[in-house]
Parts: sequence; C-alpha cells; structure tokens
Amino acid sequence: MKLFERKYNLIILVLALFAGITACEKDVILDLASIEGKYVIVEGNLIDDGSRQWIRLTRSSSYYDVTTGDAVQDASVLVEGNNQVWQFQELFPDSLPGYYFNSQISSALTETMYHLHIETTDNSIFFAQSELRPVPVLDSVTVKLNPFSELNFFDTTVYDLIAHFADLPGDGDHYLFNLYINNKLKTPRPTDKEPMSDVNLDEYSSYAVLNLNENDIAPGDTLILEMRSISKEKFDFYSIFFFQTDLSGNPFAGAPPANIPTNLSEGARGFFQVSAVNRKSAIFQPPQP
Amino acid sequence: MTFQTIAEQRYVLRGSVRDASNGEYLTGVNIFIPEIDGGAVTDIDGKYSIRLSEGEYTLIFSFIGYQRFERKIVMDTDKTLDVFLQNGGLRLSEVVVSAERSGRNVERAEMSTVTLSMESIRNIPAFLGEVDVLRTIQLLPGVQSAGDGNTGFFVRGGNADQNLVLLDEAVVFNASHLFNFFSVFNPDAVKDVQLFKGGIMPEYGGRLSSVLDVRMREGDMNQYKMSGGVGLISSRLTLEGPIQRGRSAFLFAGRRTYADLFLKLSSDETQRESQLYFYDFNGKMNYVLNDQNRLFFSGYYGKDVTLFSELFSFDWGNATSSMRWNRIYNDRMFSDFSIVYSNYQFNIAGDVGPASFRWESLLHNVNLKADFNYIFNDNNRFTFGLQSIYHNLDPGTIVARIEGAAAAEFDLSATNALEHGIYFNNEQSLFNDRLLLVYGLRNSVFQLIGPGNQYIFDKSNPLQWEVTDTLQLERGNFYDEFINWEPRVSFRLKINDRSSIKGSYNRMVQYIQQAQSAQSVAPYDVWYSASNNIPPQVADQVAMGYFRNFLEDRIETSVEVYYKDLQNVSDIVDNGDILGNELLEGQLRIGRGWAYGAEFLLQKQTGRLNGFLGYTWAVSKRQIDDINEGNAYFAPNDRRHDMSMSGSYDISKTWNIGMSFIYATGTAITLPVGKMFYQGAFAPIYSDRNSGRLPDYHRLDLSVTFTPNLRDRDRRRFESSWNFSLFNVYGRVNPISVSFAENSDRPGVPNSSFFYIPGPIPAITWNFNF
Repeated sequence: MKLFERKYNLIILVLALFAGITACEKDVILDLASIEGKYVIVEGNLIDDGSRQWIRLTRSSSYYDVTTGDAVQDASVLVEGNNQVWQFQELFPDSLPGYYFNSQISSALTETMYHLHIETTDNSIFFAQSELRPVPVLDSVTVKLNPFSELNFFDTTVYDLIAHFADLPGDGDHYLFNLYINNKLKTPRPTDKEPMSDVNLDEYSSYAVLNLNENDIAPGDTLILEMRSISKEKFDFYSIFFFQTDLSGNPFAGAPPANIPTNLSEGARGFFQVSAVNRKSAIFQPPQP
Repeated sequence: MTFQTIAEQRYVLRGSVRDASNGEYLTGVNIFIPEIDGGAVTDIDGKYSIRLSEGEYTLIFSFIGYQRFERKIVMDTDKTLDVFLQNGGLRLSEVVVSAERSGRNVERAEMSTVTLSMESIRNIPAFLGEVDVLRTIQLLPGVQSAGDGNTGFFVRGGNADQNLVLLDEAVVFNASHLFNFFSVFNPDAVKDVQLFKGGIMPEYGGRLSSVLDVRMREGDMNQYKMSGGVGLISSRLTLEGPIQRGRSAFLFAGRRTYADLFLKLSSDETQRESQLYFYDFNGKMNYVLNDQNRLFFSGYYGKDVTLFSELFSFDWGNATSSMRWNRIYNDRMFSDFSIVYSNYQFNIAGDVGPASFRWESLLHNVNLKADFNYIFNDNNRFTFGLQSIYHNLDPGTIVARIEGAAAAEFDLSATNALEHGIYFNNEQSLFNDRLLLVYGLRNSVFQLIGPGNQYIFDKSNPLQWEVTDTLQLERGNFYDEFINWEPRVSFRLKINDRSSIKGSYNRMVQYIQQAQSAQSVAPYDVWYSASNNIPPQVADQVAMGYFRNFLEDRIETSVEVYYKDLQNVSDIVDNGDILGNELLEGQLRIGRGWAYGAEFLLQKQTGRLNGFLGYTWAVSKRQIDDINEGNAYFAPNDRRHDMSMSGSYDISKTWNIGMSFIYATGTAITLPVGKMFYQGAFAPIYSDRNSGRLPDYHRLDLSVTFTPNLRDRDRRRFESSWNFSLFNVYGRVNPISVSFAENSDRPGVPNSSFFYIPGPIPAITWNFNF
C-alpha cells in the first residue's frame, strides 16, 4: 500500500491534518515568471506486449494555463537498440498532434538498452536511454476487503487488489502496477499508479498493490492487473511526482520543492522508459467479510 | 608619586545588588561613580567588584524599573556594600529593547547584543495573549522571523539551527510548543534574556549565528508569592518564596494550554476526539551558603501532546536541568562550576486496526563546565574556562506495519560524540577608558565515538550519492576528530559621553546541525553531527557600529553593519529525502554562504510614550556546487528589508496601550515558472532555487492593559491586570507555505493556495500576583 511503503507519507499527511486544525487555506493567483514553451516534454513508455507504441512530445506551458501544452509536431523521433532503429511517426497530426507512433518496436523489444533520439524542427536535439528489465510472472490476482474498510474507516467500501508473484532473484528491481476494469485503464495518472521497489519484498510475494472503490466496480467486471518493469530512476520519478503534486506546499515536508528528475538530456523534461509487461485478469466478486 | 605607590593605595569595593521586594539578585545593574567617570555592572549573579584609590566616592546604582540608589562611601580599606533596589523609581520602559542603564549602550564594548527584561516583553502585544520571549526576539533588528506559526528565528543570515538557545546554561534543542506557535519559555519564570548576534564571547561555542541566553528567576528570598494568569488558551501559575529567609529561595512555575477543549465544539467527530495541548514546568532553587559560595539548581520539563482521535499520537518535549556552584575566592577571582543536562525527544505512533506505525527519537547531552573570572587590575578583567559535552543523537527507529503489506523498518543509527572547549578572554581598558579592547580565543575539539556508522558514498552522480560501504565502528573507539581555533575580538572607542564606535570579529564553529528545510515547521527534529562526509560549519563575522544617544540618553540610536562568511554550510539536494533516512548525509551538499547587512535602531526608553523602531537591510546567499547548478542562490532566510516598530503609551495610571508593526520582504522560495503534462496530470516546473518570493509580510498588533487599583499598589498585596490584545488587526494573509497542486474541485486545473494563520485574533488574559 502506498501509505506505508513511503514511510514519511503517513507522517506528513497526518501532520498536514493537524495543520488544517489551526491554519487556513486560501486560493491565490501569484504573479509567476513563465517559461512557456521553453522545455520539450517527452512522454515515452514503451512496453513489449506487441501493441502499437507511442511517444508524446509537448511543450511546457505557463503554470496557470489550463491547456496541456502545445504539441511538438514534425519532429524526428527515433528509438535505437539491439542493432535496430525504429522511427516513430506523427500519424494523426490533426486529431492527435504531438503523438508519434510505431507498430513494430513492441514485438521486437528484448532485454537490452534502448536509446531515444529526438530532433525538433528548430534543430534542438534530445537524448534518453532506458534498459528493458525483466518482470516477474503474475501468478494470480485476488481481491479482499481493505483492513481499514473493515473498521468502517472510509465512507465507502474499499477493496485491496492482491498481486501474487515470485520476485526476481536479487534486489534492485522496480515495478509499476496498473489496473484495468473492463479493459479501461483506471490508473492513467502518475499518482494513480503504484510503483514498487523489491527491497522489502519476500521471495514470494502476496501484496496489496492497489485499491478499488466499490463505486468503480460491479460484480462480474473483469479486472486486469498489469505489472511493468521500470528503472530505479522511474520509480523515483513517480515517488517525487507524488510529493511535488499531491503534497505540494505541505509545511511539514522537509525538502524544498524541486523539479521532478528526468532521464532526458539537453533540458527536456518527462521520462523515457522501456518496460517488460505482465498482466493477469480476474472476475470481480465482492469478498465476503 | 610613583605608579607603585598608587597601586598600593587601592582598595576593593565589592558587593551585590538585589531586588528589595523579593531578594533576587539583579543582573546588569549599572554602578556609576562620577569621581572616576566610570564604574561597573553587576554580573549574572548580581555581583560587582571595583578597585578604587583611597578617597571619598559617590556610588549611583541604577536599573530600569527600579529606584535610583545613591550612597557616599569612604574608601580607606577593602569594603563590601550590598544594595537592595526598590521597584518603580524609573518608569518601566514597557517596550524597551534593552534593560540596560541609559547610556550603557554607548559605554559597553559589547555590540550586536540585546538584553530584554521580562517587563519589556510583557507589554508587547502577544499572539493569543500569550507573552512570548521568542516572538519578541523576532522584532529586533538583525533577527528575522521564520513566519507566522513559527517561533524559529534567523540571525544575520544564519539558519534557525545556528542559534544556541540556552535556558540556565542548558541547550534547548527545540524551543517551540504547539507546532511553533509558542516558545518553551514561560514568561513568569524568566528573569532576563540576552541575544548575542555578533561579538560573541569565547565562553560560548557550538553554533554559528547567535546565542540566546535565557536566565530563570531565582525566587523571592523574603516572602511567599503566587502569581499567574488565565487566558483564552492557557493558564499559568507560579509559586515562589524563601526556603530559609534571606539565604535561599525556590520558584516553581507551570502552565498548560487547553486549546483542545475547543475541538470538542467541532461538528467533526474525529476532531472532537482529538487533543492538542502542551504543558511545562520550571523550577529553580538557590542557596546562599555563605559570602563565598552559592548554589543554583534549575530544571525545565515540557511536553506537547497531539492525539488525533484514537488513530495517531505525536508528542515531543524538552527536559533540562542544571546545577551551578558560584564560588568567590577573593577580591580578584571567582568561578562557576556547572553540570548541565538537556534532552529532546519525540514519539510518533499510529494504530489503526491492522496497521501500526512507531517512531521514537531521543537526543540528549551532558555538559560539564568551569568558568573563571580574574581581575588582574583596574584595566584588565580576565576570564577563562573549559567545558566538555557528551552528545548522543539518536534519531531512533521507524517501524511501519500493515497486514498484507511489506513491513518497513528503518533503523537510524545513533551518533555519540564529545565536544570540548577551552577558552580565555581579556577585557582591557586603555587611554583612560576611552578605548576598550576585548580579545579572546576558544579552542574546540569534536570527537565521534563508537558505536556508530561511517558511510562511504559514490559521489559521481551529484544528484544521487550511492552508499558503497558502511563501516561499523566499535564501542568506545574514536573515529573522526575535528579541532578548530576560534578567535574573538571586539573594541569600543568612546568618542564622547554620548557616542562611540564599536567593532568586532568572531569565528564560530558548529559541529551538530539540524536536518530540516527552513520553511518546515514540524517538530520531528533530526540532528546530525560532523562526520567524514559533513565537515564542521565555520562562520567568520566582522561588524562595525556607531552608537549615539540624544536628549540626555533618553533616545538611543545605533547603526551596525556586518559581513558574515559561512564555510561548509549544508543544504538539501533537489528532491532530498531527509525524513527518517539513515543515509541522511547522502542527501546533503556542502558549500559556502555569505550574509551582509545594515541594522538601524532608534529607541526611547523612558516616559509615558516609549518604544523602538528597527530596520534591517540584509542579504543572505548560498553557493553549493551540486545545488542550483552551482549558481549562488538566496538563502530561505534572505529578507531584503525588515522593519519593526513597537510602542507603548500610558493613557493614565491604570490604562496602557501597546502596538507593534512588522514589515518584511517575502521569504525567498522556489516557485513554479511553468508546468508539464505527463500521463494526464501536470506537475510544476520550478525556477532556480529560492529565486521567487512569497508576498511581503506585514502585520499590526494592538493591546490594551488595564491595571485596576494601581494607585493602591503600595498598600495592597493582591494585584491584577487585564490584557486585551488583537493579533493581526487588519487580517493580513501572511502565508506559512504555498501549495501548487491541482484544483481539488476541478481536476486538471492548476491551482495555488496559501496556508496562513487567520486574523484578526482577539485575546484576553487576566494576570494576578499576591
């Protein structure tokens, strides 16, 4: 569970609650400097499931801008690895500007290092590299009532999704869990997903990795738990993303705010990750108390 | 007549000065002798000693808040003169920054030093009516507040952990109560407060930026007394009296807040079942064994308790105790021997069904001290001493468990260390006291002792050091040792009776420091020591000042400029994980800092209308290779302008009004300059470190004090007063912190918000004594 894997989250969250007793919060609009368009943002998460892969390029926007940032179009996007080069192309420039697709690479991905090369129309060049690491086989996925929910801690019933798998030998592996319900991704955003380090995992693990709210699921729905291999840097990326967004401005946080780390060079932001993926499905039936 | 002959005809006049109403010894009383255009000042034990030639002299004892006392004396042999000053002669200077005699600011060599009497602190409008030492300190030039809800303070560009806070010589590691809204110092138990911002005497060591020396009252030697106060959120009670009349006394003071009682009114059940309070006790006893020996025992115990329903508890507190033996050997020499203990601990615990969480931390130290004063002759006063401190910094163990999830246990290794200091200092008067030189040297030694861990890091990636080896050191073994010399020099050049120029240089070294960002208000202090990865911090400060009094010393003015060079200062690396991290050293980066500024002070100490106006212009920067791409950046405590004004006016004998106003440039913080979208969510893109600013801080506080039956004061034993205060009169939103996150009601829409203490906050307090 997120709350306990990140030891300090609990402390900070509860202290924030106390801060709420004595302090007030007021929405404000600040006169912030803007670097609108200065940075290229790369969203590249390739997996080896044989599906069409994409890499999205946008530009940074001013903080209060409600758009998702301008698309970076007409760029050259290449991924190289295992002595092969794949070109990503902007197939739908009008409906999906800034999305670059490739249909071959996914089937060809193996456990090796992959290099991303991007060149934009203004001749800016950006690099990143990511190693595809193996991922354990998910033996099964089960559902049980969240222990807090047993105590009526929440307003609604919450279930835990339990992943059963044998961890890879040795420490140093990192994973990411996603959840699909009836083939729809329920964890699209970085803070929805569950990154996991194997440092504290047993050889065989049965861990609650994600939560399900009773309002989001019905008996008979199909659950798919997805497990990806990620790098430690990507694990840190997700952890810090959580801190810099959901816990932003918390007066009990120890460290000052800072940019979320990236593996992109030349000032680009975002992250490029190549992952092995494993999925396991189950039909949801509410567990008996 | 030869010099030798003159020397032979000199005699020693010594004695003590005490408060006639309670027998307490008074520190800082001025003894002026017109015949020699000089005199002396009583020390912290109320003692004085003057060498005079044979003849007749007039002694004038004066102290703000007491009647002036004058006595003729013929010196034809060594003599002792003990004086009891009566209260109320000079009109109390309600908002004075200094309790010193008028004109003393010009005459003393000390600069960058402020003495506060509790009488002055009491009349400054207080937050929720609770008089607070640290909140008053924050008003002074050169001292910056860490913000609302925070009793932390920054001195001349230093961090909050660079202030040595002492309560009767014991280190107070965390001087805050109730998430920093109040300080640990009970105003009823405090005698006086001295803040040294520069020109720090060599008897003090271990912190870079300042020394805040708080002394507890000793208790009434003549009669039993009770005093206290009842306020909106807390009550106080103090008992004092003689143990043996005229020779020994005790004082016990306690207070407790009851803010949590208001939580019972909440509509939220969880808040109704929560607790949030603190209590503390002060105790002191002193014994006059005989004319040569006095003993002091003092202690403090305080605790904050927060209980969030039955789910979560968080408590923390300080405990200190000290024993001091004051010994007078002869007319020329006296000493103080002290044993001092202090600790700070916090416990965080949570239990929710199958989940549990524990974090217990303790740090403590034991300090043995010996200080000697030796008067060579009329022109040289020599002090020397030594001390040894045992530090035990145990950040504790964090254990988090939940059924079905991976248990997390983090054992944060403890540090044991010895810190030694040896020093001397001489105060030398030259050219008929026109020039006063004070010079000294401190040698400090810091030794880490096993058991402990020594970490070796691979530092090739500046943003992420990876530990490559951990050396486990055996119990009793010394492993890292640091030795430093710390020269301290200051001078006062008297231009005339009304003006002087002062200067100082001091080097300070700090071996233990706190892992906390400047904006943080959490009480889970994690202190760490110098090590193979963290060299000791060193500060060199030079300061110059011009002091000028007007209207027969009724108005005092001063201008001080300073430059401080900080070496080996640390800051947290981007996205550093400092909370409960055994490898904390790997999250810190070392570099340098510098601070400079000018401080202006104008004050009127006496009369119906009195107060002060202070202004500071200052810059504080840091440069650390692995932070902010190696570029210099503003320290979080950088405030370009800082102005404070405080005043008090006696409308009548029974009514007094007080005000204080503060304006400061906004805190330097890291602000977003844009945002990025990634996987359907946005995250801020930040500026260079601390290149942004919070809005400017300003606040007006008012108070009215009504003291009924004041005219009958001399005849009545029971006295009381009502204090009405209004904090943040015009409801300025001064942010504690700023959040940049998604709008909770409108997903995907960027939002920013301030956390702040709402205002205005009225309060009423009834104070009494009899």
